[in-house]
Amino acid sequence: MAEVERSAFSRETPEFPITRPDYTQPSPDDAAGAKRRQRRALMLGLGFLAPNILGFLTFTAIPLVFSMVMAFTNWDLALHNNPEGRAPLRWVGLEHFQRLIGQRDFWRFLGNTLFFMMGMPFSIAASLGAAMLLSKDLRGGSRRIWMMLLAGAVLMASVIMLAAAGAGGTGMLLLLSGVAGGMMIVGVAGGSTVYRTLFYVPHFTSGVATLLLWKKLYNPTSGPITNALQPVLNQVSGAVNGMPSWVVMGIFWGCVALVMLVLLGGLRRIRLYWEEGDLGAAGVGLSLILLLIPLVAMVQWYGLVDRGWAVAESTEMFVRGEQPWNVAMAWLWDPFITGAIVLVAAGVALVVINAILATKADKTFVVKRPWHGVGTGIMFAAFAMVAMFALVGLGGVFGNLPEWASKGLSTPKWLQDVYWAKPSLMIMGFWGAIGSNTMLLYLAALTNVPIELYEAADIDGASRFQKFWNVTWPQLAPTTFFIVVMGVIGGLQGGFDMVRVMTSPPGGPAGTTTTLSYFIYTEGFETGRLGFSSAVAWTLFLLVLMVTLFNWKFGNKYVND
Amino acid sequence: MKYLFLGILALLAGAGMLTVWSQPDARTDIPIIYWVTDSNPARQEQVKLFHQWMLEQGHTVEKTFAGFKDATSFFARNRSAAIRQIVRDFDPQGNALMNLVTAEEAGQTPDPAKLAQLKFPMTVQLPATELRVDMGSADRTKKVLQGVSGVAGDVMDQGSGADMRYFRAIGLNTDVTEPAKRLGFGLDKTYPALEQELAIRDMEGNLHQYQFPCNVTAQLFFVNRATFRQHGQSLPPDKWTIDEFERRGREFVRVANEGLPQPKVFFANNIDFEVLRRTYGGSRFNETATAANLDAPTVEALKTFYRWMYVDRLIPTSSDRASFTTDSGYGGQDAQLFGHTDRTRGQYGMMWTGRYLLIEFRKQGAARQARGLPPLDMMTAPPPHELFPNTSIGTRAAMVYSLGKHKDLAVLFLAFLASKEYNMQIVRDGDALPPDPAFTKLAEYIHPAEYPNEWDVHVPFAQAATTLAVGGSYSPFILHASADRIEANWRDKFMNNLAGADEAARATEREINEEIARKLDEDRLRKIPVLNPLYEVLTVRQKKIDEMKTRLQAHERAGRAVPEQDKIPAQWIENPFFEAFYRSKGWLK
Repeated sequence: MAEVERSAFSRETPEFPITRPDYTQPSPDDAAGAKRRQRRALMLGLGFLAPNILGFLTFTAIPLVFSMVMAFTNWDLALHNNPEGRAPLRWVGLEHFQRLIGQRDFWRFLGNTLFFMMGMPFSIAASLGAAMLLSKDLRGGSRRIWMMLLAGAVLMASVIMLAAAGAGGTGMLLLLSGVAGGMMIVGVAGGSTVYRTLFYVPHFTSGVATLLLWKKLYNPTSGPITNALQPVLNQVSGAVNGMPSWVVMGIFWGCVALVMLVLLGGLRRIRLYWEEGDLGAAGVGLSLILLLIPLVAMVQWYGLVDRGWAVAESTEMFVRGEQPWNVAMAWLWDPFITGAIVLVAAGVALVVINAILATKADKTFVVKRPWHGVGTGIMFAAFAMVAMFALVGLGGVFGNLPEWASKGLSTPKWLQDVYWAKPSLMIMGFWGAIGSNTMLLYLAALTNVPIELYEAADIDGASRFQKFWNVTWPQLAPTTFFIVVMGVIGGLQGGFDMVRVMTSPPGGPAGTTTTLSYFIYTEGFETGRLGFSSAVAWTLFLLVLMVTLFNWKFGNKYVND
Repeated sequence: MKYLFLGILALLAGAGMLTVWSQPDARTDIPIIYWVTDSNPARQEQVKLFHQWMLEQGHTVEKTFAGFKDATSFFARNRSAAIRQIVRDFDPQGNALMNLVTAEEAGQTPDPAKLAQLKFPMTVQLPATELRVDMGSADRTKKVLQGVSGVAGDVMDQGSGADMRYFRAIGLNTDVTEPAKRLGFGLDKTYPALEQELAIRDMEGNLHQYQFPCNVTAQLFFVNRATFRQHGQSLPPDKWTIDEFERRGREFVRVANEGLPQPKVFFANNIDFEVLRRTYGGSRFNETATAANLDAPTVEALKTFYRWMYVDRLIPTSSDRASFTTDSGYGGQDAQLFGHTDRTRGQYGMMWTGRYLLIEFRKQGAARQARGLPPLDMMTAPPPHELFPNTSIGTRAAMVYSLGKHKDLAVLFLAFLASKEYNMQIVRDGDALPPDPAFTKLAEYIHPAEYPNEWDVHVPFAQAATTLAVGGSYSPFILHASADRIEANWRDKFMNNLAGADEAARATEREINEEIARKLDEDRLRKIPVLNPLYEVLTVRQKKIDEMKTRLQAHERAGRAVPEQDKIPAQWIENPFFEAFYRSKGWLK
């Protein structure tokens, strides 16, 4: 009934026209209400966000802007924070930055920072290796599992027997063997979860505690590393002293040959990039510079200039006819000269073969854009450079081994040694990096690789390495790119706590471990030059920004390709 | 959600207000001063002594309680344990009052009989200030940051003249020259050699005092007689040259390390490089401290230091130090190794340090007694000398924070440091030398009854502070920390065979002089430069000194007596080493 009445009432007649409301437009009351509601929602949202925004402004944004202003002023605690008489702040423009560029220490500390970063490729490789191992399910009844269980049990039993027999002198060896055996057994029981947790331990252990632990591990006399290494070195010195010198020198030349092979391989790859239009002139130039840096280091580290002079003097004797046979025999028995001749001959042969192949190549593409592919070239060359440095270093060790072994090999003084302080810290960083977020990222990325790609590779008969190289590695490229970008940023900014806690005096010996971040601290808080210190900080920021932009611009393309 | 959010916000705001309200400073009727110092159990006793001294000296406030309720309301506001203890200890009725107040606060009804025994109105004497110790801000960086932000402790302990000058440069310490005269803690109340560590001379040559010592350290070698006997070596003499030191040291380490795979026993733990340089007649700065002057004596000292460390192995290298597993207790591993009887664990025959290490040695003595071992049998030996016998002197001194709210009360603490009560506490505790040298003449200092094994130690330290010791060489034109860093860097390079001794000395000199030039450039940016006018005056003076030195050296070479007119006026010399050195040569007027 009520429905009928309402309907009748709303019926339109010519006498009583009904103005129907336009429901497509909000009424003025509704619009005001909606605005109020919107404003209220906005205020509420802002209210929720306010603590975060305020915190960000107070502790990040404002200090950031403040430090930028400071970098261009002569702000000094002695001049501008003296409550008894503050000097007016003076705008010094780029003066701090000019001074910085002319300061020897800045370049030395930047060099230290970059040196530490050379450990990055190894850390990434190790993290990837760990992730690949941990991505496998280790539980089940396969033969490998039983072998692990057996090995673990044998290790544990050996440790118990040795300990019972009173082998206290090798306590560290016992401990390590015991831990390894225990891990195998527990790992078999708990599967990859146990190993994943164990590998991730360094990341969630307190930083300073870990650093102090490593400081103890590096004790030059009683440290576990020294104790474990010294017996091995004793054996090595005995073995080296007992073998003819040409054997060790052969390994030395092997390392040098490998350096040359990596160099030639790098040159060949760059040439291919160039010929295929993937690399412009600038990329070629920069890549070549990077590839040649290890050679400069090799000349310096191996004392090639001095040796060269010695050879030149004997050559002069030979030419003058002074005891020519003696000189010739001396050359023949000098492994350095013989090795150098063999290597140069091999190198020339390789270059000639390479050149012949190059002339036969079909050059159909000429790169006109000089910066084209520069990221690809540099990334490739940087990895090759690090590999060459490692081989040059290894060669240096073998080159000097006979002399060292004749005096008896001893472990380095680790953090107290000017030559070993940096590598010692890098080894520690490497350990920390294996079980870091990098490993977790790779673990996650590995689960995202489509199984179909592996199946297709299996059908094509690909080997394990081929599957890794052609399927896994390209599929991991975005993750690797992210890791490299973050690693470079972290590497440039890092090192402060490590240096502060582990080295004595901090940054020593002789400033060999001082990084840019520690330099900022000493300039800011020891000398009170806040303006200059801010300038160093902003220079570091610019460096990070440039490298990151470079990575994004050129590396991204490499990833997407 | 929004109610939850608002609830949390209200809770946090309430907690914040509660925190502010519960801050002792906000609730106390008695002003509190904070003493920023190192972590040491003796500080609590010193705080108690200070409160007692305030009461005795009449630096007090009177508080009259009309009745028990008045007293409970006062103590409800003033919950400081120290103040309550003072009332208990020093007021005749204090203990009874505090027992009743404590009972009331615990919710118990005070015993009416005991309450009736209290006589109201009751007046108690309280110290004019309450001293509290802040051991968490002793780090230098913290002091600087808190200081420039206006929130540092009222009294701050810090090292010697180097940091005093830095704190002066950033305006954190107060000129206490006038209160020092008035309250009796002037420079005349302590060792003359400490002048550079406690005061700064202005352009007119007037001294301005900025701190007073909490304790004083003149460094010597502590000698463990038992270790020398163990290795069949004769004890060090009262004086020895560098050659004799080396000869005895080589023999000591040869015999002591016989049969060990690597040296574990060292003649001494260390020696101050500056003492070595000075004995060769050199200093970091020239006479007027306007430039670095690292010539032959520095090179010689570097070579000697290297020889002792790497060739003769008289003192341990940094890796030797890192090799020792002992690393605990006051004084670190060195103090432990000094007391070792087992040479295979590492041992030092002598230890280069100050008297303050007696604190640790006494602790070790108790432990040795428990193990049935005899107490440490100790004596001292001076540093070896070449041209000029000397040693270093340092202090842990207290300064008054310039932005502190209670500077007038803070200076009272400095006056307390000069008091008999405090000096005797240092004498008893063995915490270095007492600030006032007069207390080193007392029998309690020379022959402490409890520690007869130390009787040969106390007098030499006190004598060294007044005879051998020379204060630090500081330049107003460079931060000491910067100069230290430069020199340590090049010394490190030399020690690690990365640079020769000459090269290291030259490079250090060049870099320090560059830093001085930079500091002078920065000073020109001030409205009224402070350092440049002083530098100009001093460089002119330096030229004159150099000319006079040429004549003096000619007299010396010819073996003639120095005529009075050729002597350098003593007040021209800013560097205390050259003042002492030239005085010993008879070159000063």
